[in-house]
Amino acid sequence: MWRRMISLLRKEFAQLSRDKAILFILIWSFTGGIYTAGHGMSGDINNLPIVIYDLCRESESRDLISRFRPPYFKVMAYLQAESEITEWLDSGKASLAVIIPPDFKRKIAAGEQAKVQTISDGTISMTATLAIGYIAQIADAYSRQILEKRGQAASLSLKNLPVIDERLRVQFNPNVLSSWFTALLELFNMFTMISLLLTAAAMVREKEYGTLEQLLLSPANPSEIFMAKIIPTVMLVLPLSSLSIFLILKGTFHIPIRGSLLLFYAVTAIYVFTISSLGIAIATVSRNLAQAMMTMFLVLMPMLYLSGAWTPPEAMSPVVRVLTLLSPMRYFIDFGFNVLFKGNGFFYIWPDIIGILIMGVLLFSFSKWWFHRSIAK
Amino acid sequence: MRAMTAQGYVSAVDAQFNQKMVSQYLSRVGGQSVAGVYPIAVEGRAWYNPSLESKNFMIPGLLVLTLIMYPPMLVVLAIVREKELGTIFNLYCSPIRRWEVVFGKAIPYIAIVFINYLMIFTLSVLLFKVRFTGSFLLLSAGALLYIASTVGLGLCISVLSRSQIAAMLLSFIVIMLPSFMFSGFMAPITSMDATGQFISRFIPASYFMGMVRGIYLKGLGFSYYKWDLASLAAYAVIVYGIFIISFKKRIA
Repeated sequence: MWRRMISLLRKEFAQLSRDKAILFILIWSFTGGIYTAGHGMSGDINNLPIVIYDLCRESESRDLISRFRPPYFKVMAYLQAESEITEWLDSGKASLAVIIPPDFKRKIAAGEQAKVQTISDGTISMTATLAIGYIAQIADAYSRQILEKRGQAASLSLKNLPVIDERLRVQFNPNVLSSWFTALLELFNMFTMISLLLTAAAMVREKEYGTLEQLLLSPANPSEIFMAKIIPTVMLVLPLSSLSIFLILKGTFHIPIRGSLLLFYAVTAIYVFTISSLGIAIATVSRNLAQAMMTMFLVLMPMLYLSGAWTPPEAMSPVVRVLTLLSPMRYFIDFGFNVLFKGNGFFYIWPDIIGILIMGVLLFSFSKWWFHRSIAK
Repeated sequence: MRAMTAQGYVSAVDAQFNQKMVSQYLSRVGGQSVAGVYPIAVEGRAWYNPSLESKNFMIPGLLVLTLIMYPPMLVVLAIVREKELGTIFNLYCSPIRRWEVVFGKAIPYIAIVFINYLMIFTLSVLLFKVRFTGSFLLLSAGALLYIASTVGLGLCISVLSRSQIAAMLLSFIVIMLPSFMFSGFMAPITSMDATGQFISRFIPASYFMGMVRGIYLKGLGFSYYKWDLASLAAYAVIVYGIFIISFKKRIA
């Protein structure tokens, strides 16, 4: 059995190494791809273009305006007429308008409540929600300053207002760098996509060329043929992941890797096996690569949405939350963040490992069953 | 990401509580002179999507992404398969001209994907009930140019690869992932750093994204989008140009 396996593996590696471009693309996706993802994409607001329509034009309103500054906001223009707001927001050159009413100074002076209005571009609703939060925080800080001043004028010691001074400390990612999150998530996505694409393509190719029949005539059985497709993927992805962890995650993002790398590699190997089995399963049901690719997207997209990467499973509706249990990515992302970020050990993540294993074994058996069925026809 | 969202909520709750505490404290301690209300209140309103419903934001974005996920991959595989199987030599040997090859390959895909676009549009309006306020004709014109460029982008990738696996990985890394990350689908392009903004210039989806969301929700007309349309047209001309130049016919 081992001799058959080794010769099958030699064949697979020979086929893979025939196209040097593949290796180059793989190296790029695990280094440059992750680097650009972590740096370029940010879930936070940076330099959001805003316009200001100041009807008050007093020192108070200017004081408030001066607080809208980079890195969060970038003031594009000070408007003269209300119609200009429409123009800026319509053209998308500004994503938010701040309107300060003419009675701003008078109301503050009179101890009434002055209202600042913001109009945001609802077409980018996610950003709009975040931006309004920031503006509220800025206005709040300014309000408190006004109150303190007022208190001083009334010779009250308002230095210790009964406010909750929130000092949020975020565990495991102290500066809440979204680049850490994105880069790590991108690495996990790469594991998924590369294992899926590579294995499925290698399998479908045999069908397209008609060489699958030759393999079947050989003494190798279907399990061995499948394993010979899966093992090269595992052997390629593991060194590539080290490259990415040491060169990119540690080297350029300075992400502290807390957990045991050995555990990480071991589970990654199991995960790649599971996803590759999914690739094999897709390949056995499709006739050519284009077909397999379309099926892969059909599977990959829900898997991504259900993985809990963008929305935590706790926030999903109950039905969808049960469905997430079907996405192997969900287990792996949970495992990956737990081990690499938090440094948790085996004790915390064994359910994830079992989840990944069960999915893998199921998919592998499905491929075998379908394969037997299609040969019998 | 999650930490950030949670942090936002905590801050908001905290700020509200603080406001209450401060006003109570002031009216108790300060008496009339400083009593009363919190000096500044922020009123947030959103235009175009007043309740900030995420479907109005996601579905037009997904329309753009779907039209760049499948077409380039399908075209790339169609051509590279001919390379792998050797049938491409039939094309090399035949008396047809280079541009005839290009359009012969591209037009069926453009047509299919355009039908696909019509289906997605119908679903988005009828099933998902996304607000649609703009001109359908303008959106379709933009979609046609956009689809032409995504299909053309697929043709360009096919020049670079010899095997189907390489072609697939390449279009994945070069087209799909950047479109997903840098087209402005999740976060606006203005929030990206210089690298991200630079990359976004090379993706047709970033030109189409603003346009689709604008037409769907803002209901704006041609004059707002003439530059996006022109950019898409220029993009299409460039990608087809590259393919025609690099597709060398070998004359026996």
